[in-house]
Amino acid sequence: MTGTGLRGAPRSVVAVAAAAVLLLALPVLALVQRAPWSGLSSLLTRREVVDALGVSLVVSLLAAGIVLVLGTPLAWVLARVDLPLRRLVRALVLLPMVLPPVVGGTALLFALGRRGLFGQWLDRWFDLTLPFTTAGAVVAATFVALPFYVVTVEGALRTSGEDLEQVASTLGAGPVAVLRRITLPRLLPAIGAGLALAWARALGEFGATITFAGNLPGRTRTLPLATFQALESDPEAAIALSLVLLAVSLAVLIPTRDRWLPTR
Amino acid sequence: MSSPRSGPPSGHTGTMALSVDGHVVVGDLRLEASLELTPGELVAVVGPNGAGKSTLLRLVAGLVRLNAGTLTLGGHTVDDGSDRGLVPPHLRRVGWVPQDRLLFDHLTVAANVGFSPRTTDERVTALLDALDLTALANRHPGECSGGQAQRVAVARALAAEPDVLLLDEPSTALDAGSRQRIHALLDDRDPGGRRRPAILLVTHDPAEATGLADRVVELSDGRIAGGLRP
Amino acid sequence: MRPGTFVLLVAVTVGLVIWLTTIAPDDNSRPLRILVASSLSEVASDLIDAWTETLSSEQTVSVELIAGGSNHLVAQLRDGAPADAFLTADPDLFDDLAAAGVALGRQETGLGHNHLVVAQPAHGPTRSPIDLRDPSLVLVACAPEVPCGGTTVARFGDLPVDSFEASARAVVTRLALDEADLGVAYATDVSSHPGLVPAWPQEPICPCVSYAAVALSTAGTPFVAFLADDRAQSILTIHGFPVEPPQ
Repeated sequence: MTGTGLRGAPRSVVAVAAAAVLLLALPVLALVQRAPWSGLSSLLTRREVVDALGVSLVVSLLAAGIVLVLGTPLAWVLARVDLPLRRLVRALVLLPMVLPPVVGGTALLFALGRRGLFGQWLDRWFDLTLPFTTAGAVVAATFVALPFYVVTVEGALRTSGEDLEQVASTLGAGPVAVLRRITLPRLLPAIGAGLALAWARALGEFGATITFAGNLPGRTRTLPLATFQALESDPEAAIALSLVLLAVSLAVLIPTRDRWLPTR
Repeated sequence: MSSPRSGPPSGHTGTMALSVDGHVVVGDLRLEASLELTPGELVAVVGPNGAGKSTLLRLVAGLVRLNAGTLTLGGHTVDDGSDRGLVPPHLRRVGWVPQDRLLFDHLTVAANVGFSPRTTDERVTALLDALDLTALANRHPGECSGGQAQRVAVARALAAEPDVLLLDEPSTALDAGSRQRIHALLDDRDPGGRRRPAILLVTHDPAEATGLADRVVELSDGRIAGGLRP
Repeated sequence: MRPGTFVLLVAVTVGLVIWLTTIAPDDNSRPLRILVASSLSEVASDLIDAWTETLSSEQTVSVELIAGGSNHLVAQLRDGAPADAFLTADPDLFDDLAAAGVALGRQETGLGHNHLVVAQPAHGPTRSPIDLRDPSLVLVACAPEVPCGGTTVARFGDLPVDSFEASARAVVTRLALDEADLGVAYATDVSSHPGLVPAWPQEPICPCVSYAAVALSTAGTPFVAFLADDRAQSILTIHGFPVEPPQ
């Protein structure tokens, strides 16, 4: 890997970078410092912690799966197809990233709630309600996580260009074969990185979940919701929950994010 | 429009392997082409860089479309300037070896050569053997030298059994030894046990052109002109 | 300019801007900050208006009203957020504040009581008390950790709740949007919201929540003292807060 060592880099730039790292690391260090290490094991095995962890894992993994299935074709279309309203579509895709999550959750409620624009048909025809269910939490998590995946994969597709796909087609491979044998295998690193990012976002989602899916232990109370609640009545449990979230997130992010955007 | 051309090499009558008569506009470049190739013929296109030589090859390959005119391969019209009449690259029987070679890094050399759905294992083995690549069969393109990579690219295109082979500056950036091997390969009328396809070779080196080609055609000012016998 | 110098200059400027915008103004110039439980937000703003009318022209001061879940506000106060008075539905929280050294003694003023009501969206079907235990209906209630939630558990025991909301106001919102069939909220919230009605005729009974106020600084003491006034008590009554608990 190229790059100067720490010694060769301009000192003032490194100093400001160090301040940025400090800003990010300080809250984490404070959390670890306040942790009740002696009683931690009994805290971590408490029913509400285990329940919240279970809900969080189920919701975030399902959301990641949906993001993979929906997001890959979307990224491909955005990168490769000359859409008439491409700018509008891209802005729409990025919207959940910039929208405050509670606003997103409220919008989801108006769209998919029991009396929602589309939700009322779900209720009337299929007897299907999303609010207050785990499925609803999955929908909220998918909504906020999708842009992260699409942006990563679309970026990789744009960077890698179409040259190899063109050669493959002159060799006789049809469009589907090109996708299967050239595009997707080369896209795998970006898909992995995008999924890790999307999953982490889904895991940490709070505002949209609590607004759309509600808050019930064992069904919709994810780790972030449980932490928020515990903060008011039982700070020690809140810290324990935060540590669980921290550990799970770091365990996945550290090995998979060597670069922001995997280059070829 | 079209300029006088000397007759085909052996008084050939019948279907042209390639026939193009039209123009294409790509960005600032306007290319007018009027050219015919008989089966098995090697025609070299010379001209300065940026004149549109690569565009000509991309046109025949189907990666660029004529604005007006006709392009036929083996007597079939594959491009008539309209969207409906356009035959996509994967349905044309051309082999395109671009200047950057563009080998598939994630596949082995053997998998590269055997990539085309149209080829067979026997053909791949024969080509690897003919081009002295058998030892590299299980290596990846990243491990090959420039000359080896060039041979892999040519083998890959030939394995697809094309009627027309398109070579973009095949021996630029190669050392003398590799260049000799490529030239020997192109001289061979029978690489890998099959009759050689018609070859359209683009180069900026006139000596290479006259040394290899049955005919040399000049491309300048966006027009293909002439068809001179060496 | 060398790149390193430029970066340093930018960093120093950013640091200066951050410092200037966050240095706390001295006590004389900052507005009076009053924290209230969310169910009290409307009545509190009327009380503040009434109180500022009693002040002479030199004494006028601007007042900042911050509403939220009681537990949430207490957590912030414990961690040192600056405030002058606190109105809440859980006077037990005052112990927490006193222990953290935040409250000025326990000078409380009783503000009245509020009792729970089972409510439903205004145009919903007729319901009866059995429906409260019906698992096929969507039921929302306050989380047990907040005052209205604790009171709900004390009154009704274990209910098939579908979502534990952070405040009574959130329960009201769910019902108002017709996303829930039944909800347990405060009588004052239900009666003041046109989209909600009590689900069946209900007598006001306790366990109830009692509201109280405590001063957190000398600046807040006059306001808290005002709350014991007749004028303040009548405002509370107008908003539906009975001063005496129901039997």
